[in-house]
Amino acid sequence: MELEQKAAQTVEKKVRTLEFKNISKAFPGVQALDDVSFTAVGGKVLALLGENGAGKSTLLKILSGDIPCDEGQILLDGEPLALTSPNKAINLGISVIYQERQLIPSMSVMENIFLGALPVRSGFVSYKELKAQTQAIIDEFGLPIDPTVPVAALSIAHQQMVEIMKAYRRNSPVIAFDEPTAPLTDKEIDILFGLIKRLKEEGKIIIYVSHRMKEIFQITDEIVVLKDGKFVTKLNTSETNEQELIKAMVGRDIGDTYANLSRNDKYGDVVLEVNNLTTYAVHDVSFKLRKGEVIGLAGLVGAGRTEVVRAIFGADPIISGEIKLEGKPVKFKTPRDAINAGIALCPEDRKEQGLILWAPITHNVSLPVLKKLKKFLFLDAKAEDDLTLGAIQQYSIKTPTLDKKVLELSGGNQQKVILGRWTSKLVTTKVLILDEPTKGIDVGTKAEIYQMVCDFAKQGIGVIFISSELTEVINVADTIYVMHNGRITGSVKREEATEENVLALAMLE
Amino acid sequence: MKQSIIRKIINGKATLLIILILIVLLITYIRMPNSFTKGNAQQILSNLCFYGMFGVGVAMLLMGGGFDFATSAHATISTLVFYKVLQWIPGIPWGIAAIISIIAGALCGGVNAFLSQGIKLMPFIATIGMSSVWSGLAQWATRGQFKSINNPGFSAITAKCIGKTPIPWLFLFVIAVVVAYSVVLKWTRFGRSVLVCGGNPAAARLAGLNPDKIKSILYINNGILAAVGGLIWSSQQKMYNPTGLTSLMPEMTSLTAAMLGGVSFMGGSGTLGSAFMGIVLITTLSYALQTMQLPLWFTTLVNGLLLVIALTIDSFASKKIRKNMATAGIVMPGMR
Repeated sequence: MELEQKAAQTVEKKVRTLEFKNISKAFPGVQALDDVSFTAVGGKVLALLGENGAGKSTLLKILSGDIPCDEGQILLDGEPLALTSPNKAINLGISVIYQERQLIPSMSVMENIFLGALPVRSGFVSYKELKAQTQAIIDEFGLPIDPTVPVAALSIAHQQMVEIMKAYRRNSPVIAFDEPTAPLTDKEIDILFGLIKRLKEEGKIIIYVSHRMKEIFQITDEIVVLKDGKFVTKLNTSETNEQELIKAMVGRDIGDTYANLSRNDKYGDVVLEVNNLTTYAVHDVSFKLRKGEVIGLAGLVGAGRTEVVRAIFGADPIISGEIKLEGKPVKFKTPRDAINAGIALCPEDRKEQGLILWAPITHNVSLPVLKKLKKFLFLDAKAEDDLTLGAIQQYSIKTPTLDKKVLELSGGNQQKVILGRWTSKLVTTKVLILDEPTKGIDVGTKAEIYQMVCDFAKQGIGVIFISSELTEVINVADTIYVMHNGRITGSVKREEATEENVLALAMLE
Repeated sequence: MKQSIIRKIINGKATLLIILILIVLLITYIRMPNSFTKGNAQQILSNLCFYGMFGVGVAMLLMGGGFDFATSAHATISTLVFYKVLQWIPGIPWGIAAIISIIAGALCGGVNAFLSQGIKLMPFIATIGMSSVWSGLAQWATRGQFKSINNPGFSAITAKCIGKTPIPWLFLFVIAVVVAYSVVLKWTRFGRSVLVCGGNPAAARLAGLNPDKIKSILYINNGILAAVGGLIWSSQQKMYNPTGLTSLMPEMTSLTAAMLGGVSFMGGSGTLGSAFMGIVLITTLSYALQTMQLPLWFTTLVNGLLLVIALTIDSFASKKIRKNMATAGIVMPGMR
């Protein structure tokens, strides 16, 4: 009853608007957002849709005051917002609900909901009032949550509800959700959607980011599609369909880069066989890799691609399943075991996991073969220099000297240093795993790396190529395995692969 | 322009330290020309022997990305073991007692290796805790009493000088240790692994190295060198002192020295030579302050200031690296 009145009041009030105006943001090597403009209006749920790297999360981070934008501004009801810090954003009425919840697990539900605004009576927190106020909100939402229990004791879904109640308590006119349904069950999703509808009826501006098509049609009213940091289109959900959306997310020109690749077309025996691999993050993953073959692992961020290769490489523990190298079952306890057996990994984040940034190129190249560089007790500095020189020449790494620190090299050259590490004459690589090798690298060097991948295949190496850029993975790999939620949902040959059919598998419900 | 000055300071560490040492000596000479005696020189060199041993262990550990707050407690326990062995087995050569004491130091270091690398406790807190545990034991063992160690052979190792010079024979030994560790660090696989694992343990692991093992070795090594340092101190003082070493806190002096010498607090960089020059600077400075009869609190204050200055320089030096890391998640060595 009371709620209806409240809703009626908001309808009478002017419809609120949140305008994104010419937002641009660059990270080293990537234009994450490029002149993005659109408006979200109160009383409607607006979906942000796009592939990995389309700029959705960057936009949310700017909205939440986490990072500043280079250009442009965000206006609430026509007033520009000074989103200089997360705290500022909250005070300006913006609540962004991330997948990782921003709650304090050891504190009670009521303390979390009223964090920063605890009711005070003569200098002390009034827990009585706090409990009453929290209970009122919980009742309004109709949830079975005890305001006094610590948040850590709640289910993931209820924790998310607490987060939403926190935003509700702040009376934020703008609430953004980042993939809210990922950890929820169907029933919990229903509750969440109920809440979103209610917030919508109150005239809130709601931004909803999700990879799940079904939900987007179920809950949203408008859809903004981003691609490569650019605004593509804004559609009314009721007037569009899945095909049209995927086309909008994907559609781009594929240049001659891929057509000109000189590929390997002769495969050898199976070099790596993975059967029903299960770890904490992936389930029942099976595939075969032949000598000279390039297989691609496609999927959205968090689909479990990196986790598959880390498990193969001995970096993460395996719960069950079998890995066979050249027909023999193998068990790698550490990356060292995998390296000795002939597997090499160029990890996802080259600065965090690949390179010793303030060490010279030589040290970075010789890392896995130090044992072979021993001369009596000491390292053979000359052999190390030769090794490095080999890599520099093979991949035309641009550097004035051998002992330049890798942090002073460009992203592309850094990636080449890691490639040089695994393809020097002192390592025998049978399986080369490249996890996002082209991330943050300029277009020219990307093309070089594609050709290198094909060259490795020609040498008889089996290559696993992981990329979040769909175009790249479906044009470089011979067979594309698509992952979703820790499982392989299908595989496609390059000849048959289109971004549409791969994306459909990656977004499978 | 401003940046190039900062960069020069960072790059020319050893040179800068030598200049600073000369400045300290010059000021002392101007203020107290009579203080340049053979006795004082010998005293400074003896102090250098003591701090030098700690300095090497601490600097190595720092380069590998660790730190051990219990270093002086290890030294105390080692000297306790030395004293007890001499007491229990009369007539045992001091050399054998020393070896047993060094093994005790290695075990102490091993405990911290286990805590920080084995069961992955936060090294900062765990080693502070162990420091307290060992110190408590060390005091309990003699009920807080000093015990004199009367062994002429043992006392001689720190007292004997080369001919008529003020240079103790022991000083040559310490220099040899510094040189040996420098060689290991620069030219061996192990040394390389230390720098690599300290620089980026995640990357080192994915390239086939075993950072936990390397760091464990460094903790044990730190315990061994702390034991040697403790023995040097006992030899100089001719006694077992259950609280003396922990109140001197040679690990903090070593930390300051190493960082002045360009060893990064984040691990992965630095040389032992300049770390040792840092030790020389601090030892000379605090001895000079003493000779000028400045009160003890002043020395304490200066040492603290030096540590903060060293940390500031280090933070400037690593800013560039931090900027280069894509995600801001750089962790202190003690945290990882």
